Amino acid sequence: MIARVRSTLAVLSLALVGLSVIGEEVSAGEVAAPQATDLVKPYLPDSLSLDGKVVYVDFWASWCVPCRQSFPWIEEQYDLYHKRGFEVVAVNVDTDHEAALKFLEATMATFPVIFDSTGSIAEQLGLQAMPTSYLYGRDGRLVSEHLGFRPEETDSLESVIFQLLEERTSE
Amino acid sequence: MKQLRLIAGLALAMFAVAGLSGCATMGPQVWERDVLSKPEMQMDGAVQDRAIDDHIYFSKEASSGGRSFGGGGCGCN
Repeated sequence: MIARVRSTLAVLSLALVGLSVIGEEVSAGEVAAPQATDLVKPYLPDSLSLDGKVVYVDFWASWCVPCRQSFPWIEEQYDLYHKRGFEVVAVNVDTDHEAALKFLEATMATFPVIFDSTGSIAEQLGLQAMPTSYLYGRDGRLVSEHLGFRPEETDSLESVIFQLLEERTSE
Repeated sequence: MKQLRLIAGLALAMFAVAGLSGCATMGPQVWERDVLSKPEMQMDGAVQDRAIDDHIYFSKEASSGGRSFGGGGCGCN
């Protein structure tokens, strides 16, 4: 009797261990973490290339108050530095497309916006906050990741963007 | 009998531990909080009522504050 209970328990514990393996999404030997620039590329028009540019990928939603605060600043940076090789890709994660369009109309953003209403890009990057932004250098390396938006941090962020724009790709 | 009880206890503990993994992911992801961030989803949605209540607490009971945490539910604070 006890032997049967014991074997049942063994099978059960093995099954439980098996379940935990299913829960684990990261497996050994997996390639490097996905980059926002790579994930947004398929959504961009062919005429828009990110190669050799300083790229700012910003995840936003119409219901997110700090996102609303961040848009005028992003627009300002885009206006100032776009001609020097600064590109912005704003990724909208609204499920309500109308709300997103209304937000864009109100903010009058001129930089490229793509729509990730299913959250598939956000999920692949494992966003921890809204907004989240990623800043990439001309060589495509991730320079910084920002969670949320704080007006007091914009000066330092702008100086980083400025420095990155000064860097030439020396290949 | 004692051994059987021990095994049963172990099994129970194992299930309890396995159950904990159910708490690993809680609630919607940060990009899924659109509905939660709506005013009507706040714990204290009616602004007028809240102001009147607050005034009563403040003037009659000399207390203030202690309401639910404010914010848009965007997970950025």
